[in-house]
Amino acid sequence: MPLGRASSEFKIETEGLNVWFGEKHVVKNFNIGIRRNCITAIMGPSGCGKTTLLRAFNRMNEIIEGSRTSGSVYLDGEDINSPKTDVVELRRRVGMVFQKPNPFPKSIYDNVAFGPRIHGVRDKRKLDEIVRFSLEEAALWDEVKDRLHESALGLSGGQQQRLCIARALAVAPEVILMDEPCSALDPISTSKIEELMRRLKRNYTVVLVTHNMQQAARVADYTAFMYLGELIEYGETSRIFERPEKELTERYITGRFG
Amino acid sequence: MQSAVEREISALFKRVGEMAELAERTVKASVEAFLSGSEAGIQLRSWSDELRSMQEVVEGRAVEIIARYQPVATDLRRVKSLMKVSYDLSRFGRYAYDIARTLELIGPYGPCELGAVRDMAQRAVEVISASIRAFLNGDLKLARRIDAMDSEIDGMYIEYIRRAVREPAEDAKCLAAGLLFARHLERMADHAVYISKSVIYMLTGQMD
Repeated sequence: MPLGRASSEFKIETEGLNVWFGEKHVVKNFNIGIRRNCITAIMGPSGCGKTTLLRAFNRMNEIIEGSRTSGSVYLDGEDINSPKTDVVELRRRVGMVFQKPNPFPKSIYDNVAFGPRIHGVRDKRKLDEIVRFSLEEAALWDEVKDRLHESALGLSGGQQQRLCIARALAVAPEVILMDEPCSALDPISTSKIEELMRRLKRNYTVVLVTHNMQQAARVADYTAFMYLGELIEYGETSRIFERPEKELTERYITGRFG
Repeated sequence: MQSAVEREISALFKRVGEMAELAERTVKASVEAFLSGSEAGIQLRSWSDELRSMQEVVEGRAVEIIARYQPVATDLRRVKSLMKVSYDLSRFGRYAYDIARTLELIGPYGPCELGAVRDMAQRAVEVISASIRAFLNGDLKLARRIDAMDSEIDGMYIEYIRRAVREPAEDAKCLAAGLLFARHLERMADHAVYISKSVIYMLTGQMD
């Protein structure tokens, strides 16, 4: 572990990170520091490697056959690819929310209690507490408190996505990775999730992959622009959108690309 | 091919360009009328009103572009700059009209000894024209020279005021007319500086 990293301003840091799927070099020599208690957006055209980068933060790529990783990813200064890393624990600390809401075909309560149960929480009162806390954190409690034991599939799309966020929060993560979390939602649900993200950053570090530049502009403190697996530009969101330094960023965000 | 937002911004640029030409004409007419002591209030009032309503149209279009396209980067800076420049141009019109009103306000004057203020007027027209050229041609080098040109005018203005107090003209009308004229010129030159700053911001993203 490199000295002094744990105290750095970065929750996650990559150093010379490369990811390949077979012959395809998807993330190239990537160096980035994700600031703690901030929302960092990663944007770029389809296929630029955003999702793969995100999945490198909790070793989700390794479940894909033929994937290979080199370089380092540090979480609080510790290399998550070291043999000492407990991957289950890593994924508890670094949770993930996906593009399409994917609740389990179970009750609302059981969806949220799922993670804690896997991690060995059995006490009913403790579980009740976690479920309530997580649903409150995800700004869903008031809408579902009277129907906790009804199926999660009866919720609207926006509610389902907030349920998935509650499910991620139930295991007390430190980082929440969100991969296009609003792309299947209407504007009202989207604005609820965005409001939720702003609230979450007080207690968590949020990394958001998005195609929607206006969403990045609205919620992110920092924005990274990625192209063909490389980090092109990274900085404060307001600067990136007002005066990008790189020609490629300028062309991408103004829609003059390709 | 231009995107829709580029086409909208180009159209807006063209409107502000038309404003710039009218504003320059208005300023020149007003200065000439003042220096020759001739009546131009009606003409200048109508040009000033026209600039003002053009500015409102530009502002409305700019807000619409923001609402519809959410421009970013160069596009965003252009829209912001066009809004600001159109305001500065409308101020040129207003001060030009105010200069013409001097005659209405204090009645026929002269002949007055206008020596120093005549030079100041010439420099003010130069800096205003330069700011408009910098804007129309996207001339960064020229834009960066405007601030220094304005400092010279500020110096002339202060000197003129001090001198007017120290050695007041015998004719009170000449004193009042000279002071008001100098004041309006100085304000117009400031708006030329604001225009140059908008040009610099539009082209580079730098603000100072």
